Amino acid sequence: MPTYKLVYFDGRGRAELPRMLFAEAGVKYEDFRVKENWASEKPKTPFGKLPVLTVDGGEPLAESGAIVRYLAREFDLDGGSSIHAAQADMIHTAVIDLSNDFPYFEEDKAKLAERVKTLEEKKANLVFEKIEERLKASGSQFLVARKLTYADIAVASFVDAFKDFDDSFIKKFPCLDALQQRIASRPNIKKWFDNRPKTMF
Amino acid sequence: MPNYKLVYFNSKGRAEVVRLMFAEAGVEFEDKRVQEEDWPQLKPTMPFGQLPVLYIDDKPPLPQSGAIERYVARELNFDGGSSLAFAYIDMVCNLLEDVGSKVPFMEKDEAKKAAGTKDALENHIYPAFDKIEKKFKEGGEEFLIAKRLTLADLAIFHFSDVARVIDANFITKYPTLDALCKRVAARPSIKKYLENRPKTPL
Repeated sequence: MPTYKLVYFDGRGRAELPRMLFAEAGVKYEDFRVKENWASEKPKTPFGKLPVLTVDGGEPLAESGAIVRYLAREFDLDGGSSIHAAQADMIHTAVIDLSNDFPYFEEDKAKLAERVKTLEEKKANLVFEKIEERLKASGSQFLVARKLTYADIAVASFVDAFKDFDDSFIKKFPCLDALQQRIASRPNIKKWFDNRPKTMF
Repeated sequence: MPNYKLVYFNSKGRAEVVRLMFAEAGVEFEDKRVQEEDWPQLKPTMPFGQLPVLYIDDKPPLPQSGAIERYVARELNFDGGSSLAFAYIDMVCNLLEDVGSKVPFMEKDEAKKAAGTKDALENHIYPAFDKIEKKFKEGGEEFLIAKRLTLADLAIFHFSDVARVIDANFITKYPTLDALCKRVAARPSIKKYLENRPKTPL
């Protein structure tokens, strides 16, 4: 097993999905969190951003999507075949798309509610509907290939975050709600949730 | 070889890198271009209401340009040959997508658009390309990753092509990358494709 080091800020953000993959796969890694020393760490990164993954002390790998897809493949969490990997990919990408538009840091409560509603109407409704349909039609507990992939973990993670902002929205998607709860209760994921640092974001 | 049908608008945009891969690999595909007036009716039938979408034989259509690019790269051997090589290729493509998305192409207010474009160039695109250029120059290789033509080289080529719309001399600021783009464009299959493709600005 290679040595892995994942570098990010002290928060969940764009590192949480990689961390959940390490947890689910039961793979050890250094969970390095940059606190005060960002100014000195930044030039060491390929493009001045985090997260960054190093494998066996090699060339650092940036971009959370690339990191997630690489780890998913290494840990057999990408569905196995090219076409299944592509399906997991499209679901994960659609979720990241939504996540990028999500007003996580909006402090004004009224604005936040409005922005969440706009996101729901313009994009999230359709994406969630399609993913919900897919899960229903799959005849299995999982979105792709009838087994756990990073797509399930990504959807569950986003549903979890969304619930904090609009509980009622998720109630329209009972299968996704159930998926989120199933993922959260998987032993390795639960253990990670119980033990991970409690952070603001 | 499976039957491929790529559905997109009549532009380069988020389908062009896939088209370049098919061209370079010499793989036939149906290059379906949707007219603007037909889109509203087609939209609800698409997996996530967006284009591009790739049909592979009779399989369910695959949306999301990133997922399509990565799938086709793997199928047609533009993935660098190993998982780790592909991860670095993936990183470059993600970065281009990231910085490219900062350009407000859809902004209707001209002043806002100009300001947003300037910000995207100065604070995101130029710094990213400075770093890629430096690394590529230091490495002294012919291609960006894995010593062969990969998705990353084609993605840089496409970006440089479209970036001319917002900065006419964009790629000339990066001589090593400029040379790479010229080499890509000169490859026989790509040259032929570029000569024959529909001419659209973006």
